Amino acid sequence: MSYRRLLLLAFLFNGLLMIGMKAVEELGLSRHIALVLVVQYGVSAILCIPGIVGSRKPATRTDAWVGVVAGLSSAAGMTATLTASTMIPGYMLFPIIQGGTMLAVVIVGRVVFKERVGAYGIAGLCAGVASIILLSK
Amino acid sequence: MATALPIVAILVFAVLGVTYKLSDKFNCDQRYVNLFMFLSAWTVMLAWGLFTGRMDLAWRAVALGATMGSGVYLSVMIFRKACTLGRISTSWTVINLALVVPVAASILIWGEKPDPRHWLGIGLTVVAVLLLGVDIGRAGE
Repeated sequence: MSYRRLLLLAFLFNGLLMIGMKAVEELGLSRHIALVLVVQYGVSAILCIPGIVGSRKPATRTDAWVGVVAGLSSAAGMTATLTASTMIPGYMLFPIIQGGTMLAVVIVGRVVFKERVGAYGIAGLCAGVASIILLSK
Repeated sequence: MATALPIVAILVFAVLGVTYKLSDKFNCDQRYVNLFMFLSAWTVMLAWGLFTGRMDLAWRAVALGATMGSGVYLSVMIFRKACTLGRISTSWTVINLALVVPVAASILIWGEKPDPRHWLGIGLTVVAVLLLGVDIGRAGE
């Protein structure tokens, strides 16, 4: 499959996932957020298994702890997002969370990993902060 | 509460973003990292659901969860494949721009009505994603 088609698919899947988050509230499933996420993570874990079965390379401790930290963050983030979607309109919630996360990762990259942020990056950070301020009011 | 939740989501999703950087830095096997990620998240959500007594069966919730779970898996796999074929900055930007899909759905399907200030905010978010994508691309050159 070509790179462009893969990007289009990635764009659509990611977008549809966020629609799924919004659908939890729209379908009246706010009380079942835990069940939705248990099934979601369970299905994702099961789908991962065929890619690992038969692998000759065993998992390392680093794989495990990075994965566990990612899993705990993902679970907390999804729970917060799904709960927030019952209180905040989708057109505000998704740009705030997606934009805010992006800004936070860039800032952490700069502070912790000493990554360079150029002129475009600084302009992007300013635009991101301005967008969050505008959307939050 | 309504203000605190997005802040919590941003902070913990930022930690998730940092784990992607760490897994790259430590040369982790992404297949195992993903498996551990999904299993640990599954365990925490199951414990939380049982603790709060909110695990009563609802088939629509199961169907939505299964659809989202397949979507998450496919999204992660497609993103990884795209990163091996092209520039990570382009893939990263496109993934982040996907935020326009739920925004469009919120407006067109669910009838939400942003005011002009919110439209400006949505537009600036897209501009921020594009600018940061260009910056990542330049840093990678």
